[in-house]
Amino acid sequence: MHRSQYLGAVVRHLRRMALAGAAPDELEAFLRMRAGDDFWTPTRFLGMVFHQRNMFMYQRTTDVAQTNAAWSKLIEERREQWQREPVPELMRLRDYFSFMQFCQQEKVVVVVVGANPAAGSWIGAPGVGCYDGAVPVLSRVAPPNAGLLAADPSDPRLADFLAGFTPPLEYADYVERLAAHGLRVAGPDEGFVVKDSAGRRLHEAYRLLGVYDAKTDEPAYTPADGERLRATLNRHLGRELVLSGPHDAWEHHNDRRVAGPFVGPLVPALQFDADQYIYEFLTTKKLSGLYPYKIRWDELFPDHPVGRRS
Amino acid sequence: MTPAAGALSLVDRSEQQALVQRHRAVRALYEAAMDEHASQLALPLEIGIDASNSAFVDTDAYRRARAAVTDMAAIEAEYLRRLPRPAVSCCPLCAKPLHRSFDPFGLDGLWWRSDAHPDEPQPCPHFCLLLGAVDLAGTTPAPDFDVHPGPGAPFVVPRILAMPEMVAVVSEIAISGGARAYPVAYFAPRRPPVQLLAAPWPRTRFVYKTQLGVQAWRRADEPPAGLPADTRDFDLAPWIARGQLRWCAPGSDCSQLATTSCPFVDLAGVRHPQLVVAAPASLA
Repeated sequence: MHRSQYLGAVVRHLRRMALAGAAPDELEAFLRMRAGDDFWTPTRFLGMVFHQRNMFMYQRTTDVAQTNAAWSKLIEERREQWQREPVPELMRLRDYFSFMQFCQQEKVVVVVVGANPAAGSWIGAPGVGCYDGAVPVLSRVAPPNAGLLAADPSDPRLADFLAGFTPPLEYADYVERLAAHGLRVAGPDEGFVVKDSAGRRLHEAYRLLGVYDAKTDEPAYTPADGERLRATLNRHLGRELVLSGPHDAWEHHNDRRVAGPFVGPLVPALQFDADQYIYEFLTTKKLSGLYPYKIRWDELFPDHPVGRRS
Repeated sequence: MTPAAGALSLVDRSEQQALVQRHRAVRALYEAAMDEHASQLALPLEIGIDASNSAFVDTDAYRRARAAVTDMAAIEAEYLRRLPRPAVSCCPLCAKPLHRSFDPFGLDGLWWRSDAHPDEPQPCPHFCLLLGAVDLAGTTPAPDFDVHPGPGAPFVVPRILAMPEMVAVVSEIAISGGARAYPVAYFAPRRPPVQLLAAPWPRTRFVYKTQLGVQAWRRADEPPAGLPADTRDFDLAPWIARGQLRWCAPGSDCSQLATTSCPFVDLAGVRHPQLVVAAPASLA
């Protein structure tokens, strides 16, 4: 039996192929090589990647050239949307197995915030540590040192990031706040990477959004069992890549003074269930429809009613 | 729960190291096997972890990884079960010794991980919280994980001592190799609301459930909602003078509080939280 799964690396790869001018039948061939005997998955997947739902299926004909022309039009039609859509991913492919094993073993549903896949190659590297401390830090997406945490004043995301605090932070204030927690910012030659008190460069940790019992939909990260669950997930990941409990149970998750831009519900995110399904949440609206959130959204995120009502 | 039976407890560093090194070896196997399995899949459209999933690819590497993760779990469980549960303090209200799990055989023991979760003996009803410090005394532990042992000298947290009738008790435990640990336990006739307490030593996250049933967590270095960040006071004499700090004699079994002059006043040592980083070659 096949499971519905959203694997961001494939989504990104297909979009890159399309942007590089690959013909639709090449995209389909790429998918078909990986789909085995599952005839419909490749066209369904194209619909998801290029925001056309089932249109690829409807416009398939026996004529390859005609199908290519129709599908090219479909891909082009929503280019604006799919090009800027975030793609939630894990840091490494092997981590998908770890999350799936953990969810199956513990019979839980985990929602994890999308991570920077460029961080994957830094995990376990000499002189590099994993960080999930009190001051949030952005993960570099561009060289140098893509995948490491940094406070690059020329990073266009940083202005929005600092504006996300209450009151908004100036860059100097932010650097000072990092210093108060034993972190310092390196120079421009290193991409302004952030280093800890031991001088290590840092990559991000996985940020769990929620952990729920698969049967009861009750929070599974409890005082009695939460840290055991975290240790179990870290065992499957091979090292401590989850340093905190779920974001939705963080005492400060609705406080902009502490959480800054990481306030409220966080998307994009991936949901792993106990039966090997992986779903993506690209908007808070969709996230608010996930049952454990649907029944407690107002309680968890009172300042974010936009979720399921908008 | 009562303290672990002596016959089962780890008795020295060699026994602890036997488990630590087994864990290290199995984890290295797991890491290599998981990397190998993932590398064989290239860019999959779907992945499976068992035969119920049509996308399941049962490589030899994945079989090795599954066996290794099971072994790791067993070693961790054995280690936690066999951890000593020594008396680390003594209640100033009822005189009952406080037994807690502890690894005195080195900071490379899994007890020092941020996510360790050993079963603890039942404390007296006055016990509120255990914090602590470690004077590394020039030792250079090489754990497989980051350790947050606290500062290098005993301290108190004024915010917690400001809670009604709260008293702290400092003690000392020798760690193999020359380091010294300073547990600081807090006791009160009535436990304050749990959310006002703090992350227990040497954990980095404080997980709690309030009387209203709210489950939450915060980082050890984050203040409770609405309060300023905690400070640490290393100047112990004024707290002793106020009767809010007691101590057990170093080297004692913590069965009673000491009445002689306090040996923990003005101890030298690092006065900020220390970080012992994972040894880079721990998986080599």
